[in-house]
Amino acid sequence: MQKISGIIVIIIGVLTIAQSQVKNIPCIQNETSMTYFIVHPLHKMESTSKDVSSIVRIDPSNKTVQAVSASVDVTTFNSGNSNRDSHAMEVIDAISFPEASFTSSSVISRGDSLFASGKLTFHGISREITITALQQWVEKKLIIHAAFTISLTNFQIERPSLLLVPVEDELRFSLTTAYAL
Amino acid sequence: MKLCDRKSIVLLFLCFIMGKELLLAQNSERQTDSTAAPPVQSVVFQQDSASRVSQTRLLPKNISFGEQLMWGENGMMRSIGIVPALSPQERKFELSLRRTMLTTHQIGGFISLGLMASTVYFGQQVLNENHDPARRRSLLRTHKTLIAATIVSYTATGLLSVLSPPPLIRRDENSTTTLHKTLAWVHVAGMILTPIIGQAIKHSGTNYDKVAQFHQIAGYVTTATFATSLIVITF
Repeated sequence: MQKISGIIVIIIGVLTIAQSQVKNIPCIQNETSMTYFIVHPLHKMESTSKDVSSIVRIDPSNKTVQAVSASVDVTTFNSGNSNRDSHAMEVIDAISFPEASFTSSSVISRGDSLFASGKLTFHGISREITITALQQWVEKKLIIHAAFTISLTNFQIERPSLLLVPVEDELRFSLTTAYAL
Repeated sequence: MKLCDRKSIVLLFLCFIMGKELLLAQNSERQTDSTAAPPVQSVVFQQDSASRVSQTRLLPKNISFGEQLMWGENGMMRSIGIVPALSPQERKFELSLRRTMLTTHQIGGFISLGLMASTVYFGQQVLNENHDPARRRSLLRTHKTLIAATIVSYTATGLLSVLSPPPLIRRDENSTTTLHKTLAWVHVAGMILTPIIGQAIKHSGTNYDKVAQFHQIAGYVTTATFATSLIVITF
């Protein structure tokens, strides 16, 4: 009887250790995308990239996100108008800075909401920002929907213009990432 | 402490170690599968330093024949020595030049449209003036001056676009830019035909009204197409 209880203790111990391990999980590539929204007095436009890389550090035992990082190849954004995308790449100097990235320094989880603070590097400029996200823990997947807004001026980006009228300074991003648990 | 309890503790300790090793091995395997993610403790924070280096193409895949001829890797502009060999730094200069040329192209488009509309207006006034020959001659002079100004402005505007360095990317797609360029074929044809028909009015003799009407329609159609090509770019 004592042997059995000893084995049970061992099994529980191993399972506890297994559960308490944090995991670094890369995103599922074809379920991850990033879109930016830009507003011009004449019209609004959006451009999406599927070429997003992201890694999340989670603690599966209590389903918490501990850290997150993401990067995107800025040359892969597609608005359906390559002339416009090319213009966007010119203003963000995609030849010198082909990648934008975010690395969290702290992540706070409140219910379904996530607040990831960290460093956003875009156009070769790094700024501290806080990204608000919605986390969905579905059966074997973690899905994160994040949104944030930046100021083009703050990242030393000249606002692109159409018919001599520049776009608004605010550039809104939305990011959807999925991770297989 | 009983022997069995001690055994259990030792076994528990061994399982703890084995379990940890097993998990580390699993993590390592997962990371190998997932395109070489960095080690567990530093993955998130090493991501930006170890980020992918994107091989940005300097010239678009779908570079047009004209662009290839002028701005390609061995294009005319480089072989003559007007611009240096293709390099990221040089390409940045060319994209800046392209932006300047296309911004001027936009301004030129508005100026040309203004001149074209004025030409059409004075052309219509010439056709309407049937009573005062002196006024008609004066209107015709203004019409001809505006024709010359329109042709110069229109040609310069078109060349700014045609001769500009290629963009960074170009995809096969149907966009407002595609429509803008398609309409350009129509107004270019109009800009060639309208003055030719205008010249033909002089020698039209008894067909004066008919030829003048052709010229009038060609002028209106060209102006409308040109205006449309300007408007579509805003959508």
